[in-house]
Amino acid sequence: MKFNEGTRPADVDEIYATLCERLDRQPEDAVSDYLARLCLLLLGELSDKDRALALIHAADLAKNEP
Amino acid sequence: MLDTLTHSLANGHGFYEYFDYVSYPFVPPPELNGQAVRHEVVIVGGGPVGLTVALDLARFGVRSVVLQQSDKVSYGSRAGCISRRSVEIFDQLGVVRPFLESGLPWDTGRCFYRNDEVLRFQMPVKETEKFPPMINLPQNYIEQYLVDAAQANDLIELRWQNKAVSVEQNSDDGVRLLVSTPEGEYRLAASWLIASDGARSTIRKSLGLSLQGESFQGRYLIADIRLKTTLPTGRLAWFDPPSNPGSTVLMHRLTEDIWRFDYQLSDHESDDQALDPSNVSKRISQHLEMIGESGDWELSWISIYRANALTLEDYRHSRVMFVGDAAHPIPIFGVRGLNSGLEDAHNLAWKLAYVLRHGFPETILNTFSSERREGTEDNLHNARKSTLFMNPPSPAYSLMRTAVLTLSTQNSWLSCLINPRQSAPAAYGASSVVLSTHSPEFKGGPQAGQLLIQMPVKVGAGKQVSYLSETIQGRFLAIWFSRDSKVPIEWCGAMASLREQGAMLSPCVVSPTSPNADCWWITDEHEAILDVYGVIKDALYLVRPDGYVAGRWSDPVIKDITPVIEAICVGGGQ
Repeated sequence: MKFNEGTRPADVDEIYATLCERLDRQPEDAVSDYLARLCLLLLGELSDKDRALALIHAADLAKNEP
Repeated sequence: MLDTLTHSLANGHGFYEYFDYVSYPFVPPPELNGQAVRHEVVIVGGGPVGLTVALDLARFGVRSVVLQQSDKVSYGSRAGCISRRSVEIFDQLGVVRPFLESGLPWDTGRCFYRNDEVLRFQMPVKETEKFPPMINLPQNYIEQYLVDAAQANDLIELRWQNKAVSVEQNSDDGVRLLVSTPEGEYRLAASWLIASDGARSTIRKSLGLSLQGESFQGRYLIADIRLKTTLPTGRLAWFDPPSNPGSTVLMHRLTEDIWRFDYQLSDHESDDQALDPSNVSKRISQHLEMIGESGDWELSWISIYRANALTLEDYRHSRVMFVGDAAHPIPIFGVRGLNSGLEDAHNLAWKLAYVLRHGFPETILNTFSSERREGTEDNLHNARKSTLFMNPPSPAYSLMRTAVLTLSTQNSWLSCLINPRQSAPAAYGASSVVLSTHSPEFKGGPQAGQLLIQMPVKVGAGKQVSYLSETIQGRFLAIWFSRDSKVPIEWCGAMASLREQGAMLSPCVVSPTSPNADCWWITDEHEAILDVYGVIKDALYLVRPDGYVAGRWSDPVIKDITPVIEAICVGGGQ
């Protein structure tokens, strides 16, 4: 099941807020319209809130990798 | 209600005046002549929330004095959307008629990103509801209707041009206010004080209390205009419209030809620039032109709004209770400001009246604070989300909002982020007057702490239809639901006994046919009410005077539940 099928609006809210806050912590030139849309569309392909949050967390870790 | 950064230019500036403001004279109160008068209740602030408290108390026979700083109702549309719950409260108070006659009902909204529609929403509408989800009416109308009702009520003394300056309180003896008037100052003594004096509450400051929470940086200009158009009533929102690039524009028809415009200001516009009528006219004209409105229009009122999401920790401070913006300024997005204030008023009034008239312990007033704090937490939570979307606070929020708007037409799951999350009635957790929220033996229906579900009902064998909420009338309501129309004989006796003890309790039965009990009967021929209330066989709902379910029991045992009902209806939950 995809995130966009039957996901509770409260979960969408939480994911959205988390994404906004994480992007806010990035250098401004590292954040683009393309990235924002990609994040949202990727989230739409995930099955639940936990997976979506895991993706955001993984992205956070990845940016610190050499 | 709006915590406006800069107040309106009001009238006298060549603006079109759509409302006939009555100037009320100052009448010297007895205290100015040295008479010592002690009042039962004083309400500081004669706006819609304060007046609602006064009218609500009056229906229980409680007299109040309302101090109104101004000589007239407030300027402009301000809080112009009244929720269904608020209309129900006005209905309970017997003042709803003018609101329905001149308010505009609506249930739909449309949102656009640039030129494209990205969301069309509909608020829940059921045939069984008595009122529409939302009614638009400018706040000056709302206040005037409530003033008219208050002036006609012998139990309400409305003192115009009386400004509360400071308050002292003695927890055992009530409060003493210093009041300023055009003819000098006087001291006013009262047993109880309701502070409904707005976001900049003098009473709150006088008691040294401070609000906690969040203030948002973005600003909106709000304007009332007169425009003849065939556009329908409803919420219209444009994000980044070609008429005002980078801004967000909202339009609501309020009444007759009066429209409310809200548009987001950019960081580089000063308040003075934004409030310059020529600048306002230019931006509104550009927008009207964009949507194909070419007719004449006139500006009536303008102001600037900045969103605050703040609250007091506690709404009761001994003999002082805070309601509305004095307790919790809330962002306007989702229309939770005035509507939550009216919920405060209705929650407080019956509890204070039962303390004063029916011997309830003062501790029940603590549940006013705890319940309404729950309501505020929910409101702040939702209003914050709406505000972050309507008024992005950072580049990332702005970027994400654009991404949502551009993707939402192809990805409908994102539309919940655009939805304005309109105000909904609060639900309360367990307290001395909400018994439990766990009742798995029901197939649905309102749980304890939730509002009674509105249903049209027929009383007895008659054909006259009324609504379930109309049966409350300021009392507790004990509703026995029975699918086989059989009521335990001892239940009728127990209810009669409680009434003899002074319980303000109305027992009634909901059943398909005439019950075997000599009590008030609501006919449910097709068992529709029984279904909506999730009744399997027999059930009892205890409803509070404000329409909230205090408790419910499936297949109740009379000897077990009678003491519980007694504790609530006679002892206020003690």
